[in-house]
Amino acid sequence: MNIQRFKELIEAYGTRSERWPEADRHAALIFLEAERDAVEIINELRRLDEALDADIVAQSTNLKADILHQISLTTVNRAEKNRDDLFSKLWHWLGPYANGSFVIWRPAIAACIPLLTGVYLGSVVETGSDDQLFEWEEDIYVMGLVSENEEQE
Amino acid sequence: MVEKSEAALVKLVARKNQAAFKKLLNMHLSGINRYTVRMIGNAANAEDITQEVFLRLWTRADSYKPEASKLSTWLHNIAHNLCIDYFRKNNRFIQDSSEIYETEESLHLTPVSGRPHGIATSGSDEPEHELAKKNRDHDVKKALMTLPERQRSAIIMCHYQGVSNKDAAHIMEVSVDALESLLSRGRLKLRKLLTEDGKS
Repeated sequence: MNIQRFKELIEAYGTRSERWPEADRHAALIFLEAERDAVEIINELRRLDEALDADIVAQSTNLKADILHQISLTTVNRAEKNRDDLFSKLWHWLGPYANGSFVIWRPAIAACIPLLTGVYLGSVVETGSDDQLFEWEEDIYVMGLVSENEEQE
Repeated sequence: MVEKSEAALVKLVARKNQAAFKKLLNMHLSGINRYTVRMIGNAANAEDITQEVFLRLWTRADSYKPEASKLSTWLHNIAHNLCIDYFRKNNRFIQDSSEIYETEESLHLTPVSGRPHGIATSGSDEPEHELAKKNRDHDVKKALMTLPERQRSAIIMCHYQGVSNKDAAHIMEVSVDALESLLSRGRLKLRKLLTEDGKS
Protein backbone atom coordinates (compact mmCIF):
# COMPACT_ATOMS: atom_id res chain seq x y z
CA MET A 1 0.00 0.00 0.00
CA ASN A 2 1.19 3.49 -0.81
CA ILE A 3 -0.38 6.93 -0.60
CA GLN A 4 -1.46 6.84 -4.25
CA ARG A 5 -3.31 3.53 -3.88
CA PHE A 6 -4.78 4.59 -0.54
CA LYS A 7 -6.17 7.78 -2.10
CA GLU A 8 -7.65 5.78 -5.03
CA LEU A 9 -9.24 3.42 -2.54
CA ILE A 10 -10.87 6.20 -0.50
CA GLU A 11 -12.00 8.10 -3.57
CA ALA A 12 -13.71 4.98 -4.93
CA TYR A 13 -15.05 3.21 -1.83
CA GLY A 14 -15.29 5.99 0.72
CA THR A 15 -13.84 6.52 4.16
CA ARG A 16 -15.45 3.62 6.03
CA SER A 17 -13.19 0.59 6.18
CA GLU A 18 -16.07 -1.93 6.03
CA ARG A 19 -16.73 -0.77 2.47
CA TRP A 20 -13.14 -1.25 1.30
CA PRO A 21 -12.39 -4.33 -0.81
CA GLU A 22 -11.36 -7.30 1.30
CA ALA A 23 -8.11 -7.68 -0.62
CA ASP A 24 -6.97 -4.15 0.34
CA ARG A 25 -8.61 -3.64 3.72
CA HIS A 26 -5.93 -5.04 6.00
CA ALA A 27 -3.06 -3.24 4.25
CA ALA A 28 -5.06 0.00 4.10
CA LEU A 29 -5.82 -0.10 7.83
CA ILE A 30 -2.15 -0.62 8.69
CA PHE A 31 -1.24 2.22 6.33
CA LEU A 32 -3.86 4.46 7.95
CA GLU A 33 -2.39 3.85 11.41
CA ALA A 34 1.13 4.61 10.26
CA GLU A 35 0.66 7.56 7.89
CA ARG A 36 -0.50 11.04 8.88
CA ASP A 37 -1.31 11.88 5.23
CA ALA A 38 -3.74 8.96 5.13
CA VAL A 39 -5.67 10.39 8.10
CA GLU A 40 -5.83 13.76 6.33
CA ILE A 41 -7.31 12.11 3.22
CA ILE A 42 -9.95 10.44 5.37
CA ASN A 43 -10.84 13.70 7.13
CA GLU A 44 -11.02 15.50 3.81
CA LEU A 45 -13.45 13.04 2.24
CA ARG A 46 -15.50 12.02 5.28
CA ARG A 47 -18.31 14.53 4.74
CA LEU A 48 -19.49 12.92 1.53
CA ASP A 49 -20.02 9.60 3.35
CA GLU A 50 -21.93 11.42 6.09
CA ALA A 51 -24.13 13.08 3.49
CA LEU A 52 -24.78 9.80 1.65
CA ASP A 53 -25.54 7.96 4.90
CA ALA A 54 -28.22 10.54 5.73
CA ASP A 55 -30.32 9.28 2.82
CA ILE A 56 -32.94 6.79 3.99
CA VAL A 57 -35.41 4.91 1.79
CA ALA A 58 -38.86 4.38 3.29
CA GLN A 59 -40.17 0.85 2.88
CA SER A 60 -43.57 0.37 1.26
CA THR A 61 -45.99 -1.47 3.53
CA ASN A 62 -47.99 -3.12 0.73
CA LEU A 63 -45.16 -4.30 -1.46
CA LYS A 64 -44.73 -7.71 0.17
CA ALA A 65 -48.46 -8.45 0.07
CA ASP A 66 -48.61 -7.30 -3.58
CA ILE A 67 -45.80 -9.66 -4.56
CA LEU A 68 -47.37 -12.61 -2.75
CA HIS A 69 -50.69 -11.84 -4.45
CA GLN A 70 -48.94 -11.68 -7.82
CA ILE A 71 -47.28 -15.07 -7.41
CA SER A 72 -50.53 -16.72 -6.32
CA LEU A 73 -52.16 -15.28 -9.46
CA THR A 74 -49.28 -16.61 -11.54
CA THR A 75 -49.75 -20.08 -10.06
CA VAL A 76 -53.52 -20.09 -10.73
CA ASN A 77 -53.04 -18.71 -14.26
CA ARG A 78 -50.43 -21.34 -15.03
CA ALA A 79 -52.71 -24.19 -13.86
CA GLU A 80 -55.60 -22.79 -15.93
CA LYS A 81 -53.35 -22.33 -18.94
CA ASN A 82 -52.09 -25.92 -18.71
CA ARG A 83 -55.66 -27.23 -18.46
CA ASP A 84 -56.80 -25.07 -21.38
CA ASP A 85 -53.79 -26.14 -23.43
CA LEU A 86 -54.59 -29.82 -22.91
CA PHE A 87 -58.28 -29.35 -23.75
CA SER A 88 -57.60 -27.25 -26.87
CA LYS A 89 -54.95 -29.73 -28.07
CA LEU A 90 -57.43 -32.59 -27.76
CA TRP A 91 -60.17 -30.55 -29.43
CA HIS A 92 -57.92 -29.66 -32.37
CA TRP A 93 -56.74 -33.25 -32.71
CA LEU A 94 -60.33 -34.47 -32.92
CA GLY A 95 -61.37 -31.83 -35.46
CA PRO A 96 -61.60 -32.86 -39.15
CA TYR A 97 -59.17 -30.15 -40.29
CA ALA A 98 -55.53 -30.84 -39.46
CA ASN A 99 -52.78 -28.66 -40.95
CA GLY A 100 -55.22 -27.25 -43.50
CA SER A 101 -56.33 -30.64 -44.94
CA PHE A 102 -59.50 -32.60 -44.33
CA VAL A 103 -58.90 -35.71 -42.18
CA ILE A 104 -61.97 -37.88 -41.58
CA TRP A 105 -60.54 -40.68 -39.45
CA ARG A 106 -60.01 -38.53 -36.34
CA PRO A 107 -63.66 -37.42 -35.94
CA ALA A 108 -64.68 -40.96 -36.95
CA ILE A 109 -62.61 -42.36 -34.09
CA ALA A 110 -64.15 -39.77 -31.78
CA ALA A 111 -67.66 -40.80 -32.84
CA CYS A 112 -66.84 -44.52 -32.34
CA ILE A 113 -65.60 -44.00 -28.80
CA PRO A 114 -69.11 -43.98 -27.16
CA LEU A 115 -70.16 -47.03 -29.27
CA LEU A 116 -67.02 -48.99 -28.33
CA THR A 117 -67.46 -47.98 -24.69
CA GLY A 118 -71.05 -49.28 -24.74
CA VAL A 119 -70.01 -52.62 -26.28
CA TYR A 120 -67.23 -53.00 -23.74
CA LEU A 121 -69.49 -52.20 -20.76
CA GLY A 122 -72.17 -54.55 -22.12
CA SER A 123 -69.70 -57.44 -22.27
CA VAL A 124 -68.11 -56.80 -18.89
CA VAL A 125 -70.90 -55.72 -16.51
CA GLU A 126 -73.17 -58.56 -15.22
CA THR A 127 -76.90 -57.82 -15.26
CA GLY A 128 -77.95 -61.09 -13.45
CA SER A 129 -79.27 -64.41 -14.98
CA ASP A 130 -82.90 -65.34 -15.93
CA ASP A 131 -83.00 -68.06 -13.20
CA GLN A 132 -82.29 -65.48 -10.52
CA LEU A 133 -85.10 -63.24 -11.86
CA PHE A 134 -87.52 -66.22 -11.81
CA GLU A 135 -86.59 -67.07 -8.18
CA TRP A 136 -87.28 -63.45 -7.11
CA GLU A 137 -90.69 -63.51 -8.82
CA GLU A 138 -91.55 -66.83 -7.07
CA ASP A 139 -90.57 -65.43 -3.67
CA ILE A 140 -92.72 -62.34 -4.16
CA TYR A 141 -95.71 -64.54 -5.21
CA VAL A 142 -95.35 -66.79 -2.10
CA MET A 143 -95.09 -63.76 0.20
CA GLY A 144 -98.25 -62.38 -1.42
CA LEU A 145 -100.17 -65.66 -0.77
CA VAL A 146 -99.02 -65.80 2.86
CA SER A 147 -100.18 -62.25 3.58
CA GLU A 148 -103.56 -62.97 1.86
CA ASN A 149 -104.13 -66.07 4.09
CA GLU A 150 -103.28 -64.08 7.22
CA GLU A 151 -105.86 -61.44 6.31
CA GLN A 152 -108.61 -64.13 5.77
CA GLU A 153 -107.93 -65.70 9.19
CA MET B 1 -23.97 -21.48 5.78
CA VAL B 2 -26.52 -18.78 4.86
CA GLU B 3 -25.74 -19.30 1.17
CA LYS B 4 -26.33 -23.06 1.54
CA SER B 5 -29.69 -22.58 3.19
CA GLU B 6 -30.61 -19.94 0.62
CA ALA B 7 -29.71 -22.33 -2.18
CA ALA B 8 -31.94 -24.97 -0.58
CA LEU B 9 -34.79 -22.44 -0.35
CA VAL B 10 -34.34 -21.47 -4.01
CA LYS B 11 -34.58 -25.17 -4.95
CA LEU B 12 -37.89 -25.33 -3.11
CA VAL B 13 -39.06 -22.16 -4.86
CA ALA B 14 -38.27 -23.83 -8.18
CA ARG B 15 -40.78 -26.50 -7.11
CA LYS B 16 -43.28 -23.69 -6.40
CA ASN B 17 -43.07 -23.83 -2.62
CA GLN B 18 -44.68 -20.59 -1.41
CA ALA B 19 -43.36 -20.85 2.16
CA ALA B 20 -39.77 -20.93 0.88
CA PHE B 21 -40.51 -17.99 -1.39
CA LYS B 22 -41.92 -16.02 1.54
CA LYS B 23 -38.74 -16.64 3.54
CA LEU B 24 -36.54 -15.39 0.70
CA LEU B 25 -38.86 -12.42 0.22
CA ASN B 26 -38.44 -11.48 3.90
CA MET B 27 -34.66 -11.75 3.56
CA HIS B 28 -34.18 -9.73 0.37
CA LEU B 29 -37.18 -7.51 -0.30
CA SER B 30 -36.11 -4.39 1.57
CA GLY B 31 -32.55 -4.51 0.17
CA ILE B 32 -33.65 -4.90 -3.44
CA ASN B 33 -36.33 -2.24 -3.05
CA ARG B 34 -33.81 0.23 -1.64
CA TYR B 35 -31.63 -0.41 -4.69
CA THR B 36 -34.45 0.15 -7.19
CA VAL B 37 -35.81 3.25 -5.41
CA ARG B 38 -32.37 4.88 -5.42
CA MET B 39 -31.78 3.87 -9.03
CA ILE B 40 -35.15 4.99 -10.42
CA GLY B 41 -35.81 7.92 -8.08
CA ASN B 42 -39.55 7.26 -8.16
CA ALA B 43 -41.00 4.94 -5.53
CA ALA B 44 -44.00 3.73 -7.58
CA ASN B 45 -41.96 2.73 -10.65
CA ALA B 46 -39.23 1.30 -8.44
CA GLU B 47 -41.77 -0.92 -6.68
CA ASP B 48 -42.96 -2.24 -10.05
CA ILE B 49 -39.37 -3.23 -10.81
CA THR B 50 -38.93 -4.79 -7.35
CA GLN B 51 -42.10 -6.83 -7.96
CA GLU B 52 -40.72 -7.99 -11.29
CA VAL B 53 -37.43 -9.05 -9.65
CA PHE B 54 -39.29 -11.32 -7.23
CA LEU B 55 -41.65 -12.62 -9.90
CA ARG B 56 -38.55 -13.70 -11.80
CA LEU B 57 -37.26 -15.41 -8.68
CA TRP B 58 -40.58 -17.28 -8.58
CA THR B 59 -40.70 -18.19 -12.26
CA ARG B 60 -37.00 -18.70 -12.99
CA ALA B 61 -35.61 -20.03 -9.72
CA ASP B 62 -34.31 -23.11 -11.55
CA SER B 63 -31.87 -20.92 -13.51
CA TYR B 64 -30.10 -19.74 -10.32
CA LYS B 65 -26.66 -21.35 -9.91
CA PRO B 66 -25.55 -21.14 -6.26
CA GLU B 67 -21.98 -22.09 -7.16
CA ALA B 68 -21.72 -19.07 -9.50
CA SER B 69 -23.03 -16.30 -7.23
CA LYS B 70 -24.77 -15.45 -3.98
CA LEU B 71 -28.54 -15.08 -4.22
CA SER B 72 -28.26 -11.42 -3.26
CA THR B 73 -25.87 -10.84 -6.19
CA TRP B 74 -28.22 -12.73 -8.55
CA LEU B 75 -31.17 -10.60 -7.45
CA HIS B 76 -29.15 -7.38 -7.73
CA ASN B 77 -28.15 -8.47 -11.24
CA ILE B 78 -31.80 -8.87 -12.25
CA ALA B 79 -32.71 -5.54 -10.59
CA HIS B 80 -29.82 -3.75 -12.32
CA ASN B 81 -30.81 -5.10 -15.76
CA LEU B 82 -34.48 -4.20 -15.21
CA CYS B 83 -33.48 -0.66 -14.20
CA ILE B 84 -31.34 -0.31 -17.35
CA ASP B 85 -34.30 -1.60 -19.43
CA TYR B 86 -36.55 0.92 -17.69
CA PHE B 87 -34.21 3.79 -18.62
CA ARG B 88 -33.98 2.57 -22.22
CA LYS B 89 -37.74 2.30 -22.55
CA ASN B 90 -38.26 5.70 -21.02
CA ASN B 91 -35.33 7.14 -22.97
CA ARG B 92 -34.02 8.93 -19.91
CA PHE B 93 -30.61 9.27 -18.27
CA ILE B 94 -28.93 7.31 -21.00
CA GLN B 95 -26.62 10.15 -21.84
CA ASP B 96 -24.36 11.64 -19.25
CA SER B 97 -26.77 13.88 -17.39
CA SER B 98 -23.86 15.90 -15.99
CA GLU B 99 -24.36 18.09 -19.05
CA ILE B 100 -27.79 18.99 -17.73
CA TYR B 101 -26.83 19.60 -14.10
CA GLU B 102 -23.47 21.25 -14.13
CA THR B 103 -23.29 22.83 -10.69
CA GLU B 104 -24.90 22.52 -7.30
CA GLU B 105 -26.38 26.02 -7.82
CA SER B 106 -28.47 24.74 -10.74
CA LEU B 107 -29.77 21.98 -8.46
CA HIS B 108 -30.38 24.26 -5.46
CA LEU B 109 -28.58 21.87 -3.16
CA THR B 110 -27.31 22.85 0.28
CA PRO B 111 -23.71 21.83 0.82
CA VAL B 112 -22.85 19.95 4.00
CA SER B 113 -21.16 22.11 6.60
CA GLY B 114 -18.76 20.95 9.27
CA ARG B 115 -21.45 19.46 11.54
CA PRO B 116 -22.26 15.84 10.86
CA HIS B 117 -25.88 15.02 9.99
CA GLY B 118 -28.21 13.34 12.38
CA ILE B 119 -26.78 15.05 15.48
CA ALA B 120 -29.00 17.68 17.07
CA THR B 121 -27.16 20.33 19.03
CA SER B 122 -30.03 21.10 21.39
CA GLY B 123 -33.67 20.24 21.94
CA SER B 124 -34.83 23.72 20.91
CA ASP B 125 -33.72 23.44 17.28
CA GLU B 126 -35.16 19.97 16.76
CA PRO B 127 -37.90 20.98 14.24
CA GLU B 128 -35.34 22.93 12.21
CA HIS B 129 -32.98 20.04 12.47
CA GLU B 130 -35.69 17.65 11.24
CA LEU B 131 -36.43 19.98 8.36
CA ALA B 132 -32.74 20.25 7.55
CA LYS B 133 -32.47 16.46 7.64
CA LYS B 134 -35.43 16.10 5.29
CA ASN B 135 -33.89 18.62 2.92
CA ARG B 136 -30.59 16.76 3.14
CA ASP B 137 -32.28 13.44 2.25
CA HIS B 138 -33.92 15.15 -0.68
CA ASP B 139 -30.62 16.69 -1.77
CA VAL B 140 -28.85 13.32 -1.74
CA LYS B 141 -31.61 11.73 -3.83
CA LYS B 142 -31.52 14.63 -6.25
CA ALA B 143 -27.74 14.53 -6.48
CA LEU B 144 -27.73 10.76 -7.07
CA MET B 145 -30.21 11.20 -9.91
CA THR B 146 -27.86 13.59 -11.70
CA LEU B 147 -25.26 10.84 -12.06
CA PRO B 148 -25.10 8.72 -15.21
CA GLU B 149 -26.89 5.45 -14.53
CA ARG B 150 -23.72 3.32 -14.41
CA GLN B 151 -22.00 5.59 -11.90
CA ARG B 152 -25.19 5.70 -9.85
CA SER B 153 -25.57 1.93 -9.91
CA ALA B 154 -21.93 1.42 -8.89
CA ILE B 155 -22.26 3.83 -5.95
CA ILE B 156 -25.58 2.40 -4.78
CA MET B 157 -24.26 -1.16 -4.89
CA CYS B 158 -20.93 -0.47 -3.18
CA HIS B 159 -21.99 2.25 -0.73
CA TYR B 160 -25.55 1.33 0.25
CA GLN B 161 -26.07 -2.31 -0.65
CA GLY B 162 -22.85 -3.84 0.68
CA VAL B 163 -22.16 -5.60 -2.62
CA SER B 164 -18.47 -6.48 -2.94
CA ASN B 165 -16.41 -4.79 -5.66
CA LYS B 166 -16.00 -8.09 -7.53
CA ASP B 167 -19.72 -8.84 -7.45
CA ALA B 168 -20.60 -5.28 -8.49
CA ALA B 169 -18.13 -5.48 -11.38
CA HIS B 170 -19.64 -8.84 -12.40
CA ILE B 171 -23.19 -7.41 -12.30
CA MET B 172 -22.18 -4.38 -14.36
CA GLU B 173 -20.09 -6.53 -16.73
CA VAL B 174 -16.94 -4.44 -16.25
CA SER B 175 -13.50 -5.05 -14.73
CA VAL B 176 -12.83 -4.13 -11.09
CA ASP B 177 -10.59 -1.28 -12.32
CA ALA B 178 -13.42 0.07 -14.48
CA LEU B 179 -15.78 -0.18 -11.51
CA GLU B 180 -13.34 1.80 -9.35
CA SER B 181 -13.19 4.45 -12.07
CA LEU B 182 -17.00 4.68 -12.17
CA LEU B 183 -17.09 4.96 -8.37
CA SER B 184 -14.39 7.66 -8.23
CA ARG B 185 -16.01 9.81 -10.93
CA GLY B 186 -19.43 9.43 -9.36
CA ARG B 187 -18.25 10.25 -5.87
CA LEU B 188 -16.25 13.23 -7.09
CA LYS B 189 -19.37 14.68 -8.66
CA LEU B 190 -21.45 13.99 -5.56
CA ARG B 191 -18.79 15.67 -3.46
CA LYS B 192 -19.02 18.76 -5.64
CA LEU B 193 -22.79 18.78 -5.31
CA LEU B 194 -23.21 17.89 -1.67
CA THR B 195 -20.25 19.23 0.32
CA GLU B 196 -18.58 22.56 0.78
CA ASP B 197 -15.22 20.81 0.36
CA GLY B 198 -16.18 19.88 -3.17
CA LYS B 199 -16.49 23.54 -4.14
CA SER B 200 -12.86 24.32 -3.43
